[in-house]
Amino acid sequence: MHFFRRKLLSTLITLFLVSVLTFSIFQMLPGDPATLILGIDAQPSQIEALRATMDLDKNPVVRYTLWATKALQGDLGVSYKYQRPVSELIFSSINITAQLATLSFLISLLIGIPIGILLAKRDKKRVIIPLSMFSQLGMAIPSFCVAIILIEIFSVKLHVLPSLGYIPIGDSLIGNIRSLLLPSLSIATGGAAIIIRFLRSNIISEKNKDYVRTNRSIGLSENQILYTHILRNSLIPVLTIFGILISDVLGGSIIIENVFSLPGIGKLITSSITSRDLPLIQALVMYLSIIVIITNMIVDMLYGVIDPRIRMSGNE
Amino acid sequence: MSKDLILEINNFSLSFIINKQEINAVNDVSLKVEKGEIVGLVGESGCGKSLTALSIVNLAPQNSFVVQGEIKIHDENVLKFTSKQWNERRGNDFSIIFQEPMTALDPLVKIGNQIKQTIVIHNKEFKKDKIKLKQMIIDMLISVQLKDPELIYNSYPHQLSGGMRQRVLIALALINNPCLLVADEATTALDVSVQKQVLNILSTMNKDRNLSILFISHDLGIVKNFCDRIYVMYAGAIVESGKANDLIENPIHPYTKGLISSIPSFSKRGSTLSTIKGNVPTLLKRTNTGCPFVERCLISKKICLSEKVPQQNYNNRSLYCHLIDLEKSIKEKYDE
Repeated sequence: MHFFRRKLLSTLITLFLVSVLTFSIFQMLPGDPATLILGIDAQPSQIEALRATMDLDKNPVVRYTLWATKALQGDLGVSYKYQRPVSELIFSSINITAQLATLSFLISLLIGIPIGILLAKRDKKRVIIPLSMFSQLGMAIPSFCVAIILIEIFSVKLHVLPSLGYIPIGDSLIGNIRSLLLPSLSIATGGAAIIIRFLRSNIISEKNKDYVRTNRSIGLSENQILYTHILRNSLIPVLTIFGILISDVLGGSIIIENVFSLPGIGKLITSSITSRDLPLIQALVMYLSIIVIITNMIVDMLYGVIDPRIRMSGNE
Repeated sequence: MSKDLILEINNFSLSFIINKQEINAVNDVSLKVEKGEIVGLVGESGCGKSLTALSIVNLAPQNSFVVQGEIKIHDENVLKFTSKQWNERRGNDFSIIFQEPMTALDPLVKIGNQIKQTIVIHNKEFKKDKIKLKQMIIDMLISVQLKDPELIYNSYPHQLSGGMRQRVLIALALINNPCLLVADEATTALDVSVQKQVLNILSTMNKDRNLSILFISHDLGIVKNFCDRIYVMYAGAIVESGKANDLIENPIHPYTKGLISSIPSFSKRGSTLSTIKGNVPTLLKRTNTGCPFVERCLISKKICLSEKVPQQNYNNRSLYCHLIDLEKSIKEKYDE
C-alpha cells in the first residue's frame, strides 16, 4: 500500500531528525562530562584520558555516528548514578509504564466512548448538564489531584485499593491490576473527558449530514445509522485526540508514578534529572520521543484504515 | 376511479414553530399519484414542494408538525406510522431521492456495501446468500445504466462523479422494488446531459417496474415532457393542476402563466425574458386570508385579498383562482 509505505518512510525520517536533535542538545549542555565524573580537582592528563575513552575528543558528527550505531545495537551507555547499562535500567522499568499507559488508555476509551455516544443520543437537559459538568471538571483537574481524591476515597475511606506500590504480573494478576487501577484511573480521567466532548460534538454534527438523511430514507433505524455509519465518521477527528492522549498519558505517568511510588519510566526520569545522569536522560528523552512518534504514525495509519479518501490520496 | 391509487394526500397542512410562534408552511395540499404515473410538483423555491415531499417519507424538519390532513400510501395513513413502521416501509414500499448526490452517500462505505445494507435490513433471508446479494446489486447497477458495475460495486463514493452517485442513489432507492419514488429536485444539481440520462433511467423504471414517481422540480421544461400530470404549488398551496402538456401549453392560473412565460425559448430570442415580479413571501409574511398569489398577481381584484379561494374544476383542470369565475362568465356571455 502506497499510503502506508509513505507514512513509514516519513516516520523514519522524523526519528532520525529527533535523534540528531536530542544528541545535539545534550552536547550543548554546559560542563564537560569528563570533568563532571572525575571532579574539578582531577589531573588534566586524567581528564584527557577519560575524554579519549568517552570519545569526547572526536568531532560531533563522528560522535553522533558512534552513539547512534551503539544505540541501534542496544548499547545506550552506562548510567553515572547507578553504574549499570542504561538499556538495562530502561528495560526493567518499561514494563510498569507500558502497563500503566495501556490500562489508562483503555480506561479512557471505555469511559469516554460510551458516555460520548450517550450524551449525543440524549438531548434531555437533566442528563446532559451533570455529565458535561463532569467532563469539564475532568479536563480541568490535573491528574495528581484526581489521584489524591481517589486515594482518599478508595484507600483511606473504603480500604479497597492500595495507595502505593507495584505488584508484578508474575506474582499475582489481580494484585497487579489492583496496584495499577488507581494510577491508571487518575491519568485516564482527563483523556476520558476530552473524548466525551469531542465524540459528542462530532456525532451531533454528523447527524445533520446528507448521508444520514439518505440512510433514514432507506429505512435504517436511528441506532443502525449511529453504529454503522455515524460512529465511524465521528471517530476520524477523535483519532487525532488518541495521538495527543498517548503523549498525555506518558507525561501524566511521570507525575503519577511518583505519587503512587511505581518504579516505572516516570520515576526513572525524575531521578535521572535530579542526579544529572546524562546518558540516562538522553536515552529516556530519545525513548519518549520514539513512543510519541510511533503512536502518531499509528494514528496516521488508522486514519487511512478508516477513511478511504485519505488512504487513496496520492494514488490517483 | 377504478385505477390504483398509490399516493393520496388530502388537505395536508404543515407548520413550523419558530420563536414559539406557529408558522404555516404547507397549506391544505391535496394530490394524487396513481399506479405507474409520473406526477410533477412544480413551483419556485420556498413554495413548500420539498416539505410536502419530505412529509411523505417522514423526514420533514424536527421543528415542524402536521396541522391537519392525511397522507395515504396504498390506502394506509402514513402519518399514523410508528417509527418502527417507518423503518420497515421506507426504502421498501416507497423511497426518496434528493438533490445533493455529492454528499448523500456515506464516504467511508463502499457502494456495494451501502446497497447491500439496504437489501438486508428489509429482507433478512438474503443475509447469508452473498452470491445472490451481489448479483442483485450488480443487476441493479446495470439497470441504472452504470458502466462497469463490478468496479462501481467496489468503489467508494469519492471515486464517482455526481451523475454516477445520483444513479447509485436511484439504485439504492429502487433496489427493494418500491411502488412509489419521490424525486425531490433529483436532477437539479446535475449538468444537462447527465440530467437527461437520469430522467431516462427514471422513465425506464417507470415503464419496466410500473413505478409511480412524484417528481419535484422547478424546471418546467423537464416536467412538461417527463410527467403525466402536474401540480403547481405557490406559497405552500396548490394553485393549479392538470395534464402536463395541456397545462404547460395553456396555463390558466396567473402564477402558472407567469412561470411558463419566464422559460427561455428560441421563439422568444431577442426579447426581454419576462419574470414574475417580486418573490415568494417568506413564511413570516404569509396570511391565510385571500389568495396567496395576490401580491404578485397582475390582474388581482378586491375579492382576491379578502376571500379564501375555492377549488374549481375548469377545462379538465383543478384551479384555485377567484378570477376563473370571471373568465367563465365572460366566456359564457360570448358564447351566447
